[in-house]
Amino acid sequence: MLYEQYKTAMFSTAYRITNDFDLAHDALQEGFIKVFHNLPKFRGTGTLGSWIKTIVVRAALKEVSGLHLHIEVEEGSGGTDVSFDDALTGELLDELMRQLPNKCRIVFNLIEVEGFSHKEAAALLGVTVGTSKSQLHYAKNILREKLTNRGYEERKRG
Amino acid sequence: MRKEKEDKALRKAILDLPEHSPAGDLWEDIERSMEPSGAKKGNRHFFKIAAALLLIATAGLIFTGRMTGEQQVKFTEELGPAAELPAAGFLMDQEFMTLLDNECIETRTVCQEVDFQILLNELSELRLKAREVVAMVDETGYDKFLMKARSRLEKEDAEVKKRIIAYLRNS
Repeated sequence: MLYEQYKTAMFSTAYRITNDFDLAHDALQEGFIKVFHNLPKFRGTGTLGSWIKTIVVRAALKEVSGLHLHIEVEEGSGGTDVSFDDALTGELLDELMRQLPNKCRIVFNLIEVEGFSHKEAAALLGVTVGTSKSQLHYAKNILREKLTNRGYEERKRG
Repeated sequence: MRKEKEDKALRKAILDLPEHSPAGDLWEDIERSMEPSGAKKGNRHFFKIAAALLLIATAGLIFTGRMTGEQQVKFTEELGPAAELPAAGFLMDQEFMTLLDNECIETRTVCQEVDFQILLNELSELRLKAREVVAMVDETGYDKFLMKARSRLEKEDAEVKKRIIAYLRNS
């Protein structure tokens, strides 16, 4: 059934946005209730999965809307020459993403993980496209910095 | 070139991100939340009354049959909130169908009467509708429309069964 098919992917999405299991549960619950209530209105213009994902993302963003979202871009935080390469695993990225400030983590998730465009992410978050781009840049810089601090360079050399 | 390599590595890590599963009881919370609180109370109230009436009617049927020595019609049915019932087997009441088979062996002529056949046809049509609902539930899960459809079919099914029992009893 629909819930069984999408629950893990949608919960993962909600968890990465909220960074909190309880909030992710609330978002998934609210999201699927909306999905079931609005299913007859689904016109099939996009895929069902994309439609459900957008609903769950909106529910997850609503859950974190009360949080103070970091919007400043720190200059110079990406001053290392560390880059992402094959040594960056999914587990490691997942762990580092959870350490990102809320807003840039959300933007990174929406754009890099969930595949939304900057325009779509900006609309979902109620910010400008420029802010979305700067937050993504900020998130990547922080991820690089965290990789450096964890001795990533040494580890990937062997 | 370096940026392409970096993007490729990041993309690979993103595709390899671990998945997280929700708690097992979340679906029950969703089902509960989908029932409007007023309607939920109303439904429960309806089912309590329906169950009580059915119990009285069944007891009456059994008691009457024993007192008169006429054919005994034994029929019981459990009613409860539809959300707690599995979709599979919905309205496929084998016990009732067995009862009908047995009754029609004993009172073959009654079962061949046109009015009785009409009642059986109504029951068959309800079974077909129930199958359609089950198919939709299997595909999308319950929503408020399917819950209403299920509730309506259950009521109609109970009504037709009561009329069948009454027909057998009065024949």
